[in-house]
Amino acid sequence: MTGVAENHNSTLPPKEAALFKRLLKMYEQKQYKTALKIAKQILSNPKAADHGETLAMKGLTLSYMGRKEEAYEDVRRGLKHDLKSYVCWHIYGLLQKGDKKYEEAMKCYVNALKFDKDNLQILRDLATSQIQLRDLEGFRDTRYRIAALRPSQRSHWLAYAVALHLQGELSLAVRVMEECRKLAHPERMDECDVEYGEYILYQLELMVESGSYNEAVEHSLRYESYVYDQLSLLETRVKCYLALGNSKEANSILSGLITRNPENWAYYRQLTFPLDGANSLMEFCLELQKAIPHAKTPFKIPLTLTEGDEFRRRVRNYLALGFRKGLPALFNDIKKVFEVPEKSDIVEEETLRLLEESRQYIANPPPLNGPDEVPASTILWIYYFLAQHRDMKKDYQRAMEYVEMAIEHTPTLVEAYCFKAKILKHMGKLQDAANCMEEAQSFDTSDRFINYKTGKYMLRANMFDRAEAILSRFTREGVKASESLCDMQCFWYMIESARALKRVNRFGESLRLLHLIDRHFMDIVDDQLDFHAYCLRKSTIRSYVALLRMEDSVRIHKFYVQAAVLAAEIYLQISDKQPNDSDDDGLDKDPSLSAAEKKKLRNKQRKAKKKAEEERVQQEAADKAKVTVKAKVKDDDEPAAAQKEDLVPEKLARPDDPLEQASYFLRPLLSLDIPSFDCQRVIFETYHKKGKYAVAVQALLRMVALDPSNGKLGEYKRMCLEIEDTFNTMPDAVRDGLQQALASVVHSGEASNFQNGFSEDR
Amino acid sequence: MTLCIFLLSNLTVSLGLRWITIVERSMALLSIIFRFLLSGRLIVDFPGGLFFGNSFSPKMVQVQTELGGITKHNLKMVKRLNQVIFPVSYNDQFYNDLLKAGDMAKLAFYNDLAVGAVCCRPETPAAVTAPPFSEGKRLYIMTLGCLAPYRRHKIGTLMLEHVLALCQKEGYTAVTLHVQVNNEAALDFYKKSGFEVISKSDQYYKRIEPADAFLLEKKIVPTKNSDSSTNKAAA
Repeated sequence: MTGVAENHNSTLPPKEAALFKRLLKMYEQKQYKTALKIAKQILSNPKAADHGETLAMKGLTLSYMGRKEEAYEDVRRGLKHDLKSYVCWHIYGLLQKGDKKYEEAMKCYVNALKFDKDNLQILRDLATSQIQLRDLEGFRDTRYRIAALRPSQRSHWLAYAVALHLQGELSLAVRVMEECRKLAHPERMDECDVEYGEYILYQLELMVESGSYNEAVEHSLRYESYVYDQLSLLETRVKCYLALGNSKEANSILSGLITRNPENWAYYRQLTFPLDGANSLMEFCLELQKAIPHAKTPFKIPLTLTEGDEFRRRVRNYLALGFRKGLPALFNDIKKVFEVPEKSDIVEEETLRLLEESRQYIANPPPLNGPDEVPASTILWIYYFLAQHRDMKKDYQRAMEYVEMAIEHTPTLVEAYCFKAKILKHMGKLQDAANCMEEAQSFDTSDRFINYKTGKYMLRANMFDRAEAILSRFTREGVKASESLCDMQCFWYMIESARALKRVNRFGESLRLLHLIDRHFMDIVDDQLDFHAYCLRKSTIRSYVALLRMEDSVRIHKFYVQAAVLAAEIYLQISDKQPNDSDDDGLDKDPSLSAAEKKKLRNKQRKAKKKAEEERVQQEAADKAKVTVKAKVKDDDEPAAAQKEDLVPEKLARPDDPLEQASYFLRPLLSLDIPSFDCQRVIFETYHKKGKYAVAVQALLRMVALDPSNGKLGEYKRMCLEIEDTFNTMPDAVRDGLQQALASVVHSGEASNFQNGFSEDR
Repeated sequence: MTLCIFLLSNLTVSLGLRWITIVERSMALLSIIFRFLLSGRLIVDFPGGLFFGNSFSPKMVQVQTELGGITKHNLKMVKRLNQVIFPVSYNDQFYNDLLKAGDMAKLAFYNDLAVGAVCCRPETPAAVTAPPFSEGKRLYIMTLGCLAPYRRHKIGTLMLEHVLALCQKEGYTAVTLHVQVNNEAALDFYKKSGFEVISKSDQYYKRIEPADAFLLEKKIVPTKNSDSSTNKAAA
């Protein structure tokens, strides 16, 4: 707040003017109580009672003390009395920013700048709001103004380069970075720091992105010695050499990188053969096996390159070592090999042979070798592996036999119980799976991973209370596990829980969780705010740009997609039921139930509802208590975040416009082209129902691309044909586009499989 | 045999080891060469040779056996091990007491797998009756066992050594334990470790046959260097 300057208070009497200066100082030192007192003192003088800037400062101070409404009132009054004061406008902007109304804040800053066009602080705040809202052009211009005001300060040029980068003006960005680098260039080698290295690497990244590979190579060679992060420097240089077709240089760097870390597959993939000392990847790996015997990848790659007997020999050796060492993850380690069916068979044959041989070995150990050559646990790991292999083949019977043999051999191996639970889950025995997982958990109650697995399995079996009990062992004490996990943005839990609640038709509670997930994603986007200033200050520019790009499509994350699909499905179900009266629960339509059964079920539901209601009331009380505690802690720390509307399950379960709610969840996904059939299916159904046929047709196209043989497509295509007439009301261009698209998928293929209609699938 | 002698002298010269080691090694070497002479092939009777094929190094896999403490988090492991190993079942009180037992109760791990457990308690004074019991403070081994596939890997010895070392440290004068009369393997194991049968308890077990048990005891001779005594016991 250094920018809230001291002029404009010329209208104040001298004593009050001095007080105003003190007020600013107190505010900057975060002594809000004192600041407030001073503000009141100034305003108590009738001559200064309407002083706009003092009123605004008083408001700002109040906002930091959590008194939001008074704050707004004071600031607005202050602004009314002094519309030409940049201080008042700036403060109004800050207040809006505190409430995450960045757009409003931006307008205020622009107004403030009208009256003090070179105010650095306001310019900075404006830039932050602009980048938060991704007003990239505005951000670039503001950043330029800042840099031009203080041309000697390199961090401003750095920020300008980032702005240009985001705007896509790469060559200019490179030039700005060059100037920036020059400003930072150390006089002596030993003065060089990480920050300077970051400048060089960022410039390099800009060059690569703009496609000037020659320049990039030159740059990376010239400044190599200044860079601490040699790994990214070398990896980028490989990228450049490959783009330039200089495979010799690329190979030589890659060889070095592989010696440094032989387990990174990407390095091997980038090699171009023949290279020095090896004509093929196979040869290269064989050489490495000798040179770096402890590395695993040189042994693993040949498994993908060989076939038949050669493969048999190699995989056998690989497995033999793994079994003897007892690697729990051995199966997943070589999972890629199973993509070839014959290899999968060979693996099993060899495993069975190894089983036989190690049994023999253990039965009569040779007298001269130590008994450790084939450790006693070898057989256990072979059983475990065979169980996993049979499970993969969906032969659950045999899988179960093997896992039972493993448990009998060593009844204390937690992994074996976990895997047994997994087989049970695959067999559809969800209750048994949950019980088995709980047993696994009981062997090592300090293991958080198994604890959460157990909770998940219990939710899958709709065991809400038991899941809550298990999970609470690792969550904060004194708070319900379900609440604590939601607070911690524990997405897997929220999704599983929402699914389970949907299964038992507790739509309201399920939707509450799904809306919470949506809010968490909003929070993630909001959380960027702090990084705009922080990353530039710390010069971690490469990760900053990566962060901005990640945030732009954060909702592509599977957890959001899952939540959106689930929410839309629920809303679609609700909309199917409406507009029936509230007592209709769908039971009347079910002919398989007798009247008595229906009554029983209704009673049950009523009870469940009542219980849920009670729980909710308790929950709210707890929440309120928590909020007050939090408020106390935060009191004069930062302005309390904008209050969000409460999520009440009962209200959520009876939305006024379920389709609008469904599309609220789906809208962010429309432009992201999510490669999930389920997601596109829900988009289709929602927008078809809404009458937004263009979106529906687009979803249909994506479905066809994702899974052309899916049985549901026939019904969807037919639905599209039915609506084709409505296209005539649309603008010509849209109509033509839609008709063309539809023609490509519907008229070419036969609209078959009518019986697999979507209405039954619900 | 010239070959043997050549090798022997070569070893003596090149390794310069103490004579005792040389003798041990040369015995092993002799027997290898003897086999070689008999069969004509060196590793013909090693199933292990089949197992590994050829391209892997290191051939030997490190096996680690160690003891670990019992906590509330892994108590269930002890329970399961005892259920599997012993025909007798123990009540919850038994297991809850283990949590406070400290070094008196340990889990044995074989490459991080829990494969055995040992549980002791100080002998209650009430059980001290007339001779043949020796005087002083005595330790009683309630259970000491290892899963069948992991026997003959010195895990029992590891646990017993731990108990004997504990006795030295805490000043116990003797260790006692019961063995079912028909349990030859266990009797062998304890006798080799210096235990003696001092009496027979008729109808000691309630639900298993035979119900009789031997009471075994090993006297603890206090030494300054407890290591040597435990080594002796293990031998």
